[in-house]
Order: sequence, then structure tokens, then C-alpha cells
Amino acid sequence: MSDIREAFLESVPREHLPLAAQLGPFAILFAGGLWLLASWQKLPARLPIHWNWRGDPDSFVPRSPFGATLPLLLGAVICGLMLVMQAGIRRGAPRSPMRAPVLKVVLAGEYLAALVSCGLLGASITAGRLLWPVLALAFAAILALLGYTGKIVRGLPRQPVRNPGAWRAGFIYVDRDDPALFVPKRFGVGYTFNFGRPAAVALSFAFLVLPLIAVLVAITAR
Amino acid sequence: MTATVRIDLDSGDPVWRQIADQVRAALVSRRVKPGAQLATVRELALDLGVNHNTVAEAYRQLAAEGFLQLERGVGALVLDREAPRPPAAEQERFARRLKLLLAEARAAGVPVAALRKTIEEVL
Repeated sequence: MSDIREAFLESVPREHLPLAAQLGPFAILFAGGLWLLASWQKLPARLPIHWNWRGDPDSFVPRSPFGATLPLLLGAVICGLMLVMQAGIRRGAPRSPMRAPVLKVVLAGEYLAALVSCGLLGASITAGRLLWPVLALAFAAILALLGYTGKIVRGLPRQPVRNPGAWRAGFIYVDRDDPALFVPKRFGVGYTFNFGRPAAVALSFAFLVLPLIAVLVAITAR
Repeated sequence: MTATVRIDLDSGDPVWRQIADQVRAALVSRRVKPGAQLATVRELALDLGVNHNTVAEAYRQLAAEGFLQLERGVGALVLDREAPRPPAAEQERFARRLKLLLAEARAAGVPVAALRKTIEEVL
């Protein structure tokens, strides 16, 4: 099979992502921080951070600035990573009709992460009173995001497989000579890392390790 | 945005030459008009999955032929190039190459209509 590649010859403007839209998720997290500050005097000595399937809290953290802001910190880490991913796709993914919609989906995911983090904070500082409304809203938001993604995906043309010889185990792309940081997935829609690039290896490591560290910190903070 | 560059990494031709040949064909046929801004070296290299130097080499070749103006950070601007007037011997050389190529295509069974369409596309 020949390795044939095609690209648009003329220049096209890079996708515009307004600064206000980029700052939105962090503004939501900041508003959550203000809410926490306003409620500080009324907080109990221990804050619930985990609930069993009946909705009863089964894990707590002491009321401390670090313990109380854990949901927001976790949200900030996830939003930060998603922001880095958007920048990486804008600068390091090939131009295609897929790039702009994928960036929108990642941004929508960032908003979802910020809202869920604030929801968790709300459930925590209200001693679980907001748990069920938060779960219901999070579920609805995830469904909305999936619906939005599905709508976008349906309208996209199918991408040709990039560099067929560079795929390991069918879905891991490794090509040291390819300058792209992100390449279109072999199956489905979206991007995957080009593990032939050191920056992609570092980024994927950060995506795996940073949320894990955040969860470990949350567990050990009990 | 219709003009595209298509390369075959398994063909024996160097990639930079494939890119240069196709960009030249797009410019000569006016599929891309003077004043247009071509994709930057970085963009095209990223899209094709080839080294930046490969695209830069192709662009440099076309700039040397008077097709492009290269500016750092801006990209490649298509120039309104005045066609040179080759001497009769040079014209004869091109005609001979074209005849041989057309004969090879006919021998391989390419229909006359398809050849005519290709020639018209370029001209």
C-alpha cells in the first residue's frame, strides 16, 4: 500500500478561540472559591468528600484551606490540562475540517470539568444536601456533551489514515520524522498523540500522572 | 480552498521535488492566483507529516524560479511572475520531452481524452 499524503496548499486562518471563552472555566472555579470563602465560618469541622451509593458521606477531610479547596484544585488541574491540549491541537495537529470542532468539544469538556468541580465543592460544604442535584446536573451535562459531540462527529468527512506504517498495535502512532504532535485517530474521530515526539510523550505522561497525583492527594488528605 | 498537494512517499522521487512540482503546476494553471498566501513551511510540513526542511527546500526552489516571495514568519506569497521567453532550442527540448511522455502514456493505454484534459488543466 502506497503512503500517499495530501494537504491544502493555501494558508487558512487558525481557529479563533476567544480569550473570554478560554477564561470561562477558570472563572467558574474562581467563583467556587469565592463561594467557599463566603461560607467558611459556617463550615463544619469535617467536610465530606465521598459518599456511598445511598448518598451518606463515608469519607471526610478536616476543614482546612487545602482540604476545602480540593475539588477546586482537582478541577483546576483538569482544566489546565485541557487548555494545554487545546493549545497542542491548535499548534501541533494537521489542518483539517476536524480541528475546529474537536477544539470546541475539548473546551466544552473543560467547562463540564469546572462545573462538576464546583458541584462537588457545593455538595461538600453543604454536608451533602446538594449531592443529588449536583449528580443529576452532572449527568445531564455529560449527556448534553455526548449529544453535542455526536452531532459534530456526524457532519465530519472521513479522514484518510495517516502514514499507515507508523501505527503500533493498530492504534498507537509513532513516527519520529512526523513533526505533528497530534494526528487524527486511525479509528473514530479525534486526535491521538504522535509518540515519536518527545513533547507528546511528556504531555501524555502529564495527562496520566497529574490527575492521579491529585486523586492520591485527596485520598491522603483524609 | 481547493488546491492541494499530494505526495507519495513510496515513489522514487524526492519529496521536496514532488512538492515543488505540484505547487508549480497549481501556480502555472492559476488554480492559486498571484497575491495568495501559501501555507507556511511549518503548516505544510505538519499536514504532510514530513520534515520542515523538505518543504523549505521546495519553497526555496520555487522562490528561485520567481514564483514565490518568502518572508520569515509570514510565509510564502505567490508572485505575479512574468513568463520568461525561452530560446528556440529550449522550446524544442521541452517539446521533445512532452512528445516522449505523451507517447509513453499512449503506449500504457491512457485515453487521448484523459491526456487532453490533463494538458488543458495545466494550460
